[in-house]
Amino acid sequence: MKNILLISFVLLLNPLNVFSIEPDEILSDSKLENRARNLSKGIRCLVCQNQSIDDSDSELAKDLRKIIRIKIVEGKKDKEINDFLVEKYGNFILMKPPFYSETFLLWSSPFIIVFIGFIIIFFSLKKTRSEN
Amino acid sequence: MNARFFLPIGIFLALVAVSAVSMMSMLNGNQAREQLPSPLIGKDAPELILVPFDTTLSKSERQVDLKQLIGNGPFAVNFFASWCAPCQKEAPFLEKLSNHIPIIGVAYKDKSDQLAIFLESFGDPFIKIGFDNDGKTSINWGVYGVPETFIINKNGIIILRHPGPITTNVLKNEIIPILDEINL
Repeated sequence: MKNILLISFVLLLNPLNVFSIEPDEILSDSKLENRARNLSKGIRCLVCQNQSIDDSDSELAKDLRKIIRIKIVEGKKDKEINDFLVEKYGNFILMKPPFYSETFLLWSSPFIIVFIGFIIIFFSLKKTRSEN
Repeated sequence: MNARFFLPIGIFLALVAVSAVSMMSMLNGNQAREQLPSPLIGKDAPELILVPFDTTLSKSERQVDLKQLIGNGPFAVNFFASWCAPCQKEAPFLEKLSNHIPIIGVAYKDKSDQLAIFLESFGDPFIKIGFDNDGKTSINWGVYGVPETFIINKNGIIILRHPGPITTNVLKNEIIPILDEINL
């Protein structure tokens, strides 16, 4: 009894229980539905911008989830669906932007910063050594 | 020694200044809605498949066929809804725009009776109106919220997209100059 209470309490706290996706959207084929969910997690809701359409309650997110499912049922591949959305909304619609010349700085900035850090360490070590 | 001491403080102050300036401009309403670039600019306008608003017209009259418009000169496509407050604010400026070019209205997730009231209260600047109730046409046009306006040139190519309501400034600084440019 105590365990059941504890489990229910933990489940209540779990934010993942809150689904934006509505029952009428879900595909009956669980394999296709899983594909739709995975794709949706990578698509940005342009109204709320920091949420994926899988998490968002906005009308646009709902429409995008539906269109993804329609295209999956039509037999379109994941890449084709992503390409369609990028064609309409641009790369920004992808939660993880691809590596292009425009996103070069975005992807490489952590490495550049680490590299600059190494240079600073190298020169300060060199300086302290020569001072010693 | 001096540089070591002042550099971090300088960087910190610069960051504070940048945040302050961007916050002030947001407070002044300069960045009310961040504009995302549309990849559709310079491309052919997608099809407009809409549910007709005026059911009393004959079938051929009801269809919004872009091909009929293309070639006759530039036109605008405005995505709006009767339930959308910024669309009400935009109405008088859309009326002004309709003096320059024809406008097709796409009512996003709307109902006939409410749309009729909206057009009666705020004016009807449209040459044709249709519904996009499943949102498919809006996605095809890369729309992410109403109101949104597209200007299409006489070759059927999208030359401008404006997300958010049209205001005096938008008309004066964005739309009229581009219409002048294409020699209207």
